[in-house]
Amino acid sequence: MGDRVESPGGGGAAASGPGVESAVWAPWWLAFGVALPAAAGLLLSALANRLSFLACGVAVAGLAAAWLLRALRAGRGALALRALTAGGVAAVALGGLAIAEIEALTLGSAAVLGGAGVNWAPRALLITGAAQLAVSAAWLVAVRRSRRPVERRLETETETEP
Amino acid sequence: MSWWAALAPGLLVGALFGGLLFLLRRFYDPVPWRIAAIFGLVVFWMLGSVLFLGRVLLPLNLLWNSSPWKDLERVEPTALHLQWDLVEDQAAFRAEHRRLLARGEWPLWNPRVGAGEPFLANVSAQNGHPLVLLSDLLRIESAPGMIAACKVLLCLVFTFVLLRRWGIGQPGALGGALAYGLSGFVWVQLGWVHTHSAAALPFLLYGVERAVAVGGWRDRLLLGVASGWTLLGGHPETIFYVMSAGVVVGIERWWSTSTGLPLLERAARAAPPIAAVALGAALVAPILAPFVLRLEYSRRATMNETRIESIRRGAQDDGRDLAERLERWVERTVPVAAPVAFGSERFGRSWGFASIFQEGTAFAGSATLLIAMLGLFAVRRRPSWFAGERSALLLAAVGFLFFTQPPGLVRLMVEIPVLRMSGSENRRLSIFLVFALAVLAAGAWERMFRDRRAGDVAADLTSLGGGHGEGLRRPRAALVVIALIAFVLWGYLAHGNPDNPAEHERTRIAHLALQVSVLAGLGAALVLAGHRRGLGWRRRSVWLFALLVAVELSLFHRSLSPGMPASHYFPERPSIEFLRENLGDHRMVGIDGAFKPAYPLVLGIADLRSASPLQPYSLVRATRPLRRSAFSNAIVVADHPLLDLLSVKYVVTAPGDELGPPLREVFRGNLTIWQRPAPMNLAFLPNRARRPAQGGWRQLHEVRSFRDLVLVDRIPSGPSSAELPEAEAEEPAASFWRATSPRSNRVIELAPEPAHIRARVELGERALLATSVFQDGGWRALVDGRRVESVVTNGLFVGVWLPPGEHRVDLVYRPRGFVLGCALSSLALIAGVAWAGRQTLTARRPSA
Repeated sequence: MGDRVESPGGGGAAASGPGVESAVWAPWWLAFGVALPAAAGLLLSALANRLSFLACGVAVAGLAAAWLLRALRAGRGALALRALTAGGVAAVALGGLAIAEIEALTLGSAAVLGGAGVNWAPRALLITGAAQLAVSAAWLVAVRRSRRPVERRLETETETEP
Repeated sequence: MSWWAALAPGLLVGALFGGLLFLLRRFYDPVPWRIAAIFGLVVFWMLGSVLFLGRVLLPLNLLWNSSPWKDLERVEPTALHLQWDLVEDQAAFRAEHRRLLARGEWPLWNPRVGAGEPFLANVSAQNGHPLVLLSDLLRIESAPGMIAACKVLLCLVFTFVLLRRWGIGQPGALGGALAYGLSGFVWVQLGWVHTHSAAALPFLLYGVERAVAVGGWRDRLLLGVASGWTLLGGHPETIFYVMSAGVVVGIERWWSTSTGLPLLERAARAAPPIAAVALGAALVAPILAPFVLRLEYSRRATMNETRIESIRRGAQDDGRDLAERLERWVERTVPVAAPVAFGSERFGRSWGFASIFQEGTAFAGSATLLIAMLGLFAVRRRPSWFAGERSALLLAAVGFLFFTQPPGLVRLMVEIPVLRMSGSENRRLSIFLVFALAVLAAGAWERMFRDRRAGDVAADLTSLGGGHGEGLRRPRAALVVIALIAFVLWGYLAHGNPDNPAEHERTRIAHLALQVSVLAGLGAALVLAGHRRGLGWRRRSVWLFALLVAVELSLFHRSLSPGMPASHYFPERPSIEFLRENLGDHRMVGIDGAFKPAYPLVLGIADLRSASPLQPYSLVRATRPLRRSAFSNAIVVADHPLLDLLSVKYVVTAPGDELGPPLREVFRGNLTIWQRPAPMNLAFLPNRARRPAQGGWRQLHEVRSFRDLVLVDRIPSGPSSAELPEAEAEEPAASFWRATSPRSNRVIELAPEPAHIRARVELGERALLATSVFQDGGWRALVDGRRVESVVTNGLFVGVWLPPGEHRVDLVYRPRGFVLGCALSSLALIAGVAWAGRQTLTARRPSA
């Protein structure tokens, strides 16, 4: 069986480039898309003492894991991308919720972590989530750009076939 | 209880059992349906009444002994009275655990016991254990039965698949699984946290076996989960044993599976299983870390230190000479083969070296013992060793040694770190003995029946053509059978009750008869019938081991855990209703055993007492004047300034007991309730504060009014200190503080929640907000939302100095161990998921 050509949306096992070989990226998708929301939910739930954060993180992680599983089976990057995006969205949402919750209680993580003076944990999560979304967007653009020549070549080859 | 509620635990156990079988079949090693059916039937036979008939697996008959439930109807059969801590400790903490989770919060702080306690530092609630969390789906009284059934099923299923992995055929593996799953260690302590460890042992070893011998990412995941599961078991001592067994088996299996490889490659093969265990441990760090960090400050730790000192002084030897100590050691070996030779608390009392809870834990069945001994002394070794057997031999030796404790062992043990911490002198290493006996018996059975013509092929029914007994050296086997029967006879007949020989004699003789029948029957079948070829039952007889084990052990242990009526589960009484309605944020205390410690906690009522050995020792020490003895949990004093400080509003006595003024009777019924005249609030503003002299927290017991004077570890210098009376002014300024206008200082609002106390105060001057909330280092203070340094008041409570003006004060409880544990757990989760992803893809790539 020859090399598979990238289907619209990413994935596949073609030569190189972002979003082309899903297997290469999968550990990172898993780490960011699946584990990060769950881990963030756990940490924030500890700081704010709200189990709802953990439930939220686990729910998003579950959703992302389901997408990733499908992506890995189908060799499609688009689904994996969704998982990564979900992780980013979850991180932003959880970070925002945590800041709102913690500040509403006037109980900054400073109270917990020995007077650091900032709610660094939820803010760090916000920044991570935003960075993750930016990576997702950049990746999406890169995937589309790298696909165009392949698609054009395919179209040309199809036209010249007898 | 409705029929649906009565059936629910059984249905939940069935669903979980089905799920486990599916996962094993889909991803690991299958359990044949007929074997699974046998396991299901065994659990149904042993625990059917608590799974399907609404009975409760708790010794609720103990409630009859104390007010307010002395009027409860007496029912038979009753549970063992020695199981008191199941209701006075575990049930109480489980109930509070549920309440805290229902609030949508982590169970960080238990405000209803003592002066508040760090919840996660007390493992009695089995915090975070998956089975316990699943049991929260049920009514609380149904949970113990469901958890117990799951523990037994885990023992049975994982011992079976482990033995199968180690090359033992279905009949032997079934016999081994039943021997362990129905053993004394599991059933004598079924409701206790120890059996979480018992269930975790085969689970962990199976994870070790898969991760070392197979090594896929799923196998490592299994090992990680098993490690976390084990560590959440709730009983540090047995958790340590199980993890040690994992190390022993892991080393053996790693060594034998990597034979022939270069040294570096060998070492590299050890890394993934170790990493899996480390990740599993890190994932449960939020639950473990608070406990580990607080353990040394518990009542249990102090009691242990006292015990160790007494052993070092030679109190254990009791002036006996060596011959007498050796004789006693031989007697301590008896319960391994004859568990009720010294009687049993189940029938009345035991006159052995300990209670049935230690004596009965080393019994894995007469058939198991016989076959294991035949395996050691009378079976031809072919193949030389099954996987795991050498480890089992080592575990058996360690288990036997520590269970029987030869002279000098205890004295040696207290000098060994970790081992010295065991309150039972490590007798619970009998877990090794019963497990190893099950493994050795299964291996021996396999050898006896393995077809010589089939060589080393793992035996199953199709390879059992050789006939039983073919692998036995018969003269030796006959000697082993006779010796064991003689030992059991000696055990029972030579150790009758020394005070009253007739006591429980019929029960003991019945047990003796059962054991001798099993030994003689099985021995005769193996030694004699094996000669006779052509017996029709030969092929079916491979199941004899499993059958005998199941029959004997279920007869021995079924009556240990009778279900009690659900209507006896802490039923409501008017006095309880009165306390619940009127106590508010204050605490109550029962005098001299009335409304025993922790019973109020089950019902959601704050009680100053605690029966838990993990109670903070500093509180026990501080409340010494209220107790009869140093370590007693019974309060015997009804009026004392400490009770004011500790916010005790009601004192409860048994009906008929009288307490004089200044207490006032406010309720009379199944309990008599007395109101104390001036209980203080949880947080208050004292008139004066003083730093005690160096190490002078005993001055706490000299204070007459804590409203007036509070001892505090730090007094910031300021104007108030300069206005001290002449006598106090001779001391350094920062040693005293006195309010200049006490009436201008007041607490406007006080709203205590479990891990968060909110107060609004109005102060005309700088003042101290003192509390009766135990400070273990996890309480943080915020004034108007900004972090300030808290202080320790009266030696062990949290307090905070406040500036003049109106302020909002938040005392927030976040134990550092928990937050750091969550951070560690988060990192482990990310690392673990990324690792698993990499493993999966590495495995897939070659086929892509």
